[in-house]
Amino acid sequence: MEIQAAIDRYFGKGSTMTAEGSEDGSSLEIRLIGSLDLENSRSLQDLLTWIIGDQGRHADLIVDLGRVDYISSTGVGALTIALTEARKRDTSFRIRNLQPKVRSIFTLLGLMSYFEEAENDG
Amino acid sequence: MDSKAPDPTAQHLESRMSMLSLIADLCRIFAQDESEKANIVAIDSIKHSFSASAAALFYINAQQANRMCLAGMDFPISLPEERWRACVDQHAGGSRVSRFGPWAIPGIEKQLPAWISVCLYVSGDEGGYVFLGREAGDWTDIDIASLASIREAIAPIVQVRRERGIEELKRKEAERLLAMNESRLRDLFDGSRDMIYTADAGDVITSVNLSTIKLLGYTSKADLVGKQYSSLAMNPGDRSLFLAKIAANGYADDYEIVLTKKSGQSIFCLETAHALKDASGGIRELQGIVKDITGRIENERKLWKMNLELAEANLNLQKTQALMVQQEKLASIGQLAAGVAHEINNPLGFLMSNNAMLEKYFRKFNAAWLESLAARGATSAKTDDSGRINALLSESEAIFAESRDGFDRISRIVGSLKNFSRLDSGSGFDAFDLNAGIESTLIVAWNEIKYVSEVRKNLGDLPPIRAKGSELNQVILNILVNAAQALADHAKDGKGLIEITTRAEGDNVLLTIRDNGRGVPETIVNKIFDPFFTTKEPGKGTGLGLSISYDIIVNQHGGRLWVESEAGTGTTFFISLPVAGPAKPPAEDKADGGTVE
Repeated sequence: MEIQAAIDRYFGKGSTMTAEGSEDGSSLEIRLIGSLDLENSRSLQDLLTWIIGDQGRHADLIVDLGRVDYISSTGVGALTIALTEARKRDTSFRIRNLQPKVRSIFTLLGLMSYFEEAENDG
Repeated sequence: MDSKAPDPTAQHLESRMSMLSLIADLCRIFAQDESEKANIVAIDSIKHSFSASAAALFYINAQQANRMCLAGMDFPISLPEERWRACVDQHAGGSRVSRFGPWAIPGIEKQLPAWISVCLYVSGDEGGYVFLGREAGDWTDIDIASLASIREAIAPIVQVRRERGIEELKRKEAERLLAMNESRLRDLFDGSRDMIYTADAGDVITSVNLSTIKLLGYTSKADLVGKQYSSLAMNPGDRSLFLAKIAANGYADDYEIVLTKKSGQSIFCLETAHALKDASGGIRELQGIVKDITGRIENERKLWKMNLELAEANLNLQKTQALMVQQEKLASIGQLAAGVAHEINNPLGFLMSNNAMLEKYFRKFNAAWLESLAARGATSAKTDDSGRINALLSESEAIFAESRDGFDRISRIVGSLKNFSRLDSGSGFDAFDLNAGIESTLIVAWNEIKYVSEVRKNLGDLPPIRAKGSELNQVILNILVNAAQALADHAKDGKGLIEITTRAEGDNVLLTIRDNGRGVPETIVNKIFDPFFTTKEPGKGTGLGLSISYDIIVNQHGGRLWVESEAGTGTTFFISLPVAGPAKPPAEDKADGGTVE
């Protein structure tokens, strides 16, 4: 299934979060836009698990959080679970462009050090 | 009896005045005082106005006791019900004034001849009954009419008084219920174990419950009332988002927000809040409940972390296992090679000596043949037979020479194989001639290299180094094969070039292997020593060769291995090895159960 179609399916209509996906060879980048509240975090977790697991054709996955204005602990959890799945399959999983307040939640949960950060855009 | 004849008009007037005055009095009394005391005052007044000898007021009080107050006494008296009923029913029937006598008030022995009585007022189910007695003379019609008119005047007052009393009771009851309710709500508010707060339209806190102070570590409600709520949030922007949600929907459920305690500590909380709107739809007040979810978050966090670490550990375990398996394989291949070489050596030995011997015999045979030809004097005539034999003999020379060459080559290959695997030196460190190792490895790798590349050697003077020769040969082989493959993929006009250089550098020896192949792109040059990293298609290489080489050079021998490459130009591998060998015991001893980093 096309990545964008999958994104739309998992986040659904009327959701307060959308995403843009772009592939470059075996590298996939997902740019999230919106709030990672409880509901959206669950959708994100399902989406990433599907991409990493069932799809499994990408060697390198990057989640861009530059336009995420709010993240709950469940959002951090969703990304951590995705990272776990990626490690199991030896897929590279990185995040980037964390806003300071988003970073603060990662740090408060003691999980920031587990994530590899890709270079931020300007 | 009075001697002077009374003036009827004046008497009448006086009487009227007196009655009016009494009515006014009674109105005042009954309007103001709802208690039994009113009755006492009233009957005193009535007795006086009517100039009665005795006056009594029979009534039932609020406690349903049958009472009677006697004018002149300060306290009412309780009567047994039948007695009370007997008096009232018998003598004070209804709205009309009754006239009777002689009679005595119960409990008072003195009988009086003339009595009038009437029901003075009705209050709900009960009534107040007046009894007036006269010692001498009789009650006049005027008296009776006066009594009746008093009754008329009093009745509404008493009615109003009663209604007011009822109202008052209701009011008190309502107040009581209200107070009870308020107390209950206050208990709910302050007793709740969750934080409950209210804030105004500007999100300034207007009230908090006790749990709020406890949760946030403040000492009194006053510390928080008047504060901007967002000042309590670790990320004030999160509060703005929350308020926007409430503004849009009127409420927001289960919103996670991190609050900061007075001590500065951050706590995860879950908030549900709603807005009260005013008539124009604007927000009048926010009311919210905030739960401390630190415990739940902690559990979730631990779980995530544990799973992540498990996955990492698992992955490392798999990689280590694969690495070990590969190393085992290589080790056993080396053993196999050495074993094969050893086995071949024997038959090769007698093949070579047989060949040499056969060559010698043929030479002798040739010499004998030439002798016999000369003896027969057949120098000139080249008969068919002798020509054929001569040809065979000279061909045989060439064949023997080729065979000798072949055997020499086999011998060299076997020697290189043995040298390469160096099993004869055991698993320990020995004096190793690096240049010799390079030479024997080249022979082993020659098949891979010969079609794609020239090899240029610049082997300097090296001291023997303390090393495990077979392992170093493995490393050299790996790099040479990689170089050859890089050159093969990158088909140039003509062959590529592999340059091998060695030289002594102080306490170390330096080996460089350079190829002019396609090079390694900058983006992956840091990864080539990672286990399982390969640019080959799946199945065409394990990606372990360089990581094992790295382990051998760096961990086992205490040396350095690094690469310089330029895409399109070529790649150079640098190996630096200490002449004296590794400083501490090699990494292989970790296999006794320590953790592998």
